[in-house]
Amino acid sequence: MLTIQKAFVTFIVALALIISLGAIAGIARSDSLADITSKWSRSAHADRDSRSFTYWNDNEPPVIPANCAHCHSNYAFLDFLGEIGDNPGVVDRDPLVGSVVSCTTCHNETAHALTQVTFPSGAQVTALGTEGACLICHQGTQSGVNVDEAIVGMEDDVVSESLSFINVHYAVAAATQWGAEAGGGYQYAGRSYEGFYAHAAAYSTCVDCHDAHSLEVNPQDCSPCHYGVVDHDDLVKIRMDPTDYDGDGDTREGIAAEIDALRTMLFEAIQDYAATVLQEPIVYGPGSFPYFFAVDTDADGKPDPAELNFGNRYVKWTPRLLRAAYNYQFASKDSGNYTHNPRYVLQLLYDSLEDLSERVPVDMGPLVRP
Amino acid sequence: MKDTTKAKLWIIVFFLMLLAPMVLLFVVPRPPGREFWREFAVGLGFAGLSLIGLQFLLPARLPFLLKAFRFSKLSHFHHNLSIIGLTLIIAHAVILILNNPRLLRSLISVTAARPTWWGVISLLAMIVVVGTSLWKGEVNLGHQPWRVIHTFISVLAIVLALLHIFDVGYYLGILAHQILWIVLAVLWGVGVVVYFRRANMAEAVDTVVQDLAARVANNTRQETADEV
Repeated sequence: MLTIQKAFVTFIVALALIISLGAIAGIARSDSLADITSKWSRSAHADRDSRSFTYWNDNEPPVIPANCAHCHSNYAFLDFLGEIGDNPGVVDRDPLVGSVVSCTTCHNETAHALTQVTFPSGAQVTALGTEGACLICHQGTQSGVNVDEAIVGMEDDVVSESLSFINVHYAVAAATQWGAEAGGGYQYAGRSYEGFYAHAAAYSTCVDCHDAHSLEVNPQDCSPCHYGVVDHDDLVKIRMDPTDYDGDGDTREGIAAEIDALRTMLFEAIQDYAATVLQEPIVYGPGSFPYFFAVDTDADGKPDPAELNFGNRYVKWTPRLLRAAYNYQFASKDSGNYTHNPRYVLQLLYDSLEDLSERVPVDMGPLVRP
Repeated sequence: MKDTTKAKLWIIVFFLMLLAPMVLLFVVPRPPGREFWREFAVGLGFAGLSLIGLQFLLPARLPFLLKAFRFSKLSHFHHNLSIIGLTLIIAHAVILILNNPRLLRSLISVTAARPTWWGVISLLAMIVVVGTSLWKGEVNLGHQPWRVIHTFISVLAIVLALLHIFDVGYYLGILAHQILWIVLAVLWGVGVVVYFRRANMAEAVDTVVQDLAARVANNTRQETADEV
């Protein structure tokens, strides 16, 4: 009997070990070149029809302006890195349209050696690994410092013709993740802000969670610690922090819902401020430059497509409105902010609401600042 | 009541305690369902833990059990059911790994994967408990040291397994599950306490510690003599 028991236990333990070692070998396996190419070709980086790579096609000559080029052209990125051309950090030649983010954009000696990146605020982050190249283009183009420089010396609620909306730009994941260290959001004086969000060991950089070629996040990477995750739809339901930041009494909703609630409150407060303090209603067009518009013919608080044009842009900017609108946009243009640095985003939203509450009614009572 | 009736009754109680966690999964409202194999593995884990936990009652020489079963019979059950319990727990882990191999990658992050680590260490402890019992002779482990190791590592394994399921909290976030597992844990705890008293564990620990101290002293003396 004992022999049978010994044989059985030896067998199941050995089987478990073999399966575990096989699984480790499986996850450690590198993608083949064909896998990589297939993944990349389906990614946004390879989408040559996207606005990111076609916006300047009708320019005459068809070149991308130097200040935009390094993130919208493979050649300009290499130029910016210093891989080609003489001046790192500068695009020497306006590049022609027609390239995307391809293999050589990230796979070159300079990008591989990149350990330090400067954000629009002037802040430098160091000791970077392979994620360095991601940071260059996902840091935004503006920062809280730019907002402070624009409003310096102005009264909070006095409209200034010299002000216009300052747009942080799109996909600002790195600015979100580096938080106060990058200064991507407008950080109110006298407040402390969350710095780099490290998440967890082995899951703290862009390429720890995103496949570097498909750019996708595999929910199976999340599910070992976030037990309810099965597919992508479950990612927004993740919550590890029990604090009820939006004061709605629901501490089981995802942290993304807490952010969304504060973001919605902030926009309502922005609209209230514009309508009552500035006597000029404001609407928001998330995909239309310059995003905030003054014309709302049917007064429904939402923009109509025909109204979303540059001529109808909002012009009655005050420092208080600009700060809040900047942070609203910052919290709107990183769709993964709930996992990149939720506390930083919640802090920005809370402080913007509190700032507006000095002039318009905002129920700050139930809200909690992280 | 006849002894056979008592025996049947205790077998029914045993199965009720064993199956209660699985029955509860279907009876009370539960969180959203996940992949079949993941839920299946969780069910195996609950069944395995429940079965392993009940092993604290069988060798505890509980009077009402001894009236219904001979101790040798209980001991026989204990050996075989422990191996079945360990098999279920290993199957729990293996199916989870096969369902999502990235589970192993998450272990790099000790803090974030803390609940998983409780489970891993608990499983290793269970393997040590079963292994030292089966290969006691081969590793030259005396009876008293084996008893001490067996008892203390068993308790450690169960405590870590309970930490694992409470810290994961997917089903244990539900009050009915919490109550059930606390009740089961208390029952197992009673088994441990009774076993400690009836099996003179304090004396066994004392003997093993004295034996160890004597061996250390002997070794030191031998080394000193060698140096001289």
